[in-house]
Amino acid sequence: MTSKTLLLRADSISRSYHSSLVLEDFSLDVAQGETTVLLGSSGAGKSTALRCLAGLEPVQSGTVTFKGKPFLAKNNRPAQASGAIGMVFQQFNLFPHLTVLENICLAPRRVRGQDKAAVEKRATDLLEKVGLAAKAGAYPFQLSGGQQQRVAIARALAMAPELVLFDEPTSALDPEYTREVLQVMRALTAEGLTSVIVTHEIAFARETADRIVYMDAGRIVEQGPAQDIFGSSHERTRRFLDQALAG
Amino acid sequence: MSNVLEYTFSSTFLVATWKTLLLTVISMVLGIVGGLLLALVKNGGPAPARWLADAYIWLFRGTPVLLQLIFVFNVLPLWGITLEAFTCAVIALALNEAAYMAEIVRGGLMGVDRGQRTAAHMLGLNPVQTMRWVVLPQTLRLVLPPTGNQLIGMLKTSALASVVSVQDLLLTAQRTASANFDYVGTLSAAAIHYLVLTTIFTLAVRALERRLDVDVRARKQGQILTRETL
Ligand SMILES: Nc1ncnc2c1ncn2[C@@H]1O[C@H](COP(=O)(O)OP(=O)(O)O)[C@@H](O)[C@H]1O
Ligand SMILES: [Mg+2]
Repeated sequence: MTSKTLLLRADSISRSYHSSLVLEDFSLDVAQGETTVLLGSSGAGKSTALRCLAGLEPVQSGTVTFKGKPFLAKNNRPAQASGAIGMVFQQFNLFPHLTVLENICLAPRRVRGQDKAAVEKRATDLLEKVGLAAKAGAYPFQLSGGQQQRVAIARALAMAPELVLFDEPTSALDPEYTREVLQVMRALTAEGLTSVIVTHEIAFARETADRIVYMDAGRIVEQGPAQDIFGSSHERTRRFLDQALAG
Repeated sequence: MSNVLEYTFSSTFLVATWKTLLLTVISMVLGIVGGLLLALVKNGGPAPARWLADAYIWLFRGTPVLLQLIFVFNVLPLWGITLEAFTCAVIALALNEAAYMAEIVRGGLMGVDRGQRTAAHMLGLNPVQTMRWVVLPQTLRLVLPPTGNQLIGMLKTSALASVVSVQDLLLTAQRTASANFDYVGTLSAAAIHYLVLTTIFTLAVRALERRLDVDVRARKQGQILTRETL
């Protein structure tokens, strides 16, 4: 654990909307190659935490550092992202006017200015990896939800991010499509992708997470190595896990 | 009746229609560009620029186009700027149109899901790249139908240019009639020309809409894939 390089650190961050505090004293270390899963019921502040880690939200106090560098601009406003942190959304957010291949190639081409042929080759490899090589020319609306989410994952990976944040990637999907998306995520984490995943798929969490963070009402109730949390004797964590495992 | 046909195919009327068409299209293109700029300023410009844009829209939507047209035609010469009547009409119509197009484009920009910008940002696209590659292409599809309406409106509004002596379709019909008093024949011929132009515009906009529709584009590529067959 200590030998691993620290990639991202949130140090006691808080975020409030108007006067209500939705994230309070949130601290998290993400080490390279680790899979961190955020658990908690709806409204616990998981998405807000993830958006703060992504630099999408200003924080009222605390700091987020990525590879040792403070992550937010001077005035705490989110800074321009570089593609080093990828994000996968519940609603996929694919670009509807572009084909699958164009969705994946857009950022490497326009942001990094990489060579078209090289980018397309890499995009094709990524599509192969998520099992959608045949869908390169399709538009998002022609794909099932599960396929769209797998394209979204490939799109995030195309920027070769050092960390990928997943915000409930399967919550908008029917169970049969959930399985194929989790399968892809399982393979990626096994290959050493660093990730922070918000999910309600408790079996998936138990199987893939190195580290679990359990949140409630904007605060971290408990966090630690996955086996510790699943064996936790903390009353609220226990109740949440028992309910989730039963459901 | 035979008079109507005679006027309809006369070179005088055809030339006048060409002028009306030019006036409409040039004013519209400039109006769209102006509207786009105003919308972008209102969407993310600094506060003073936003106020200026608001004031512009308030002024040009709050006063009659005819007033604006006569103002440009009569006031610019007082300031030592003498332009052709046609140019004055283009300026007035385009300035007016920009105010309306600004609101249409702004609506279109707001119609693009916020998640699209978030996704683009996370991929590292800067705000200009996000606008260019993600937001505007989707906005274009949203604003096309209302812009088509504006184009047809512009065709008819362009007839106001006749009051500042632009030899457009309406003025040509009127002048012809004042010589021979055949108002029925000349105005009917002018109406036919307007209707033909309106029809062409409608069909052109519809064709453009189909071109931009991913559904149709996908079908052209020969991949009619429904959710079930995948
Ligand atoms: N933009 C916002 N404005 C006001 N309140 C918000 C906003 N976004 C989230 N919240 C509130 O913050 C709390 C945490 O939300 P969220 O982080 O989305 O929770 P989770 O992802 O765990 O379901 C909720 O009570 C929600 O209503
Ligand atoms: Mg959420």
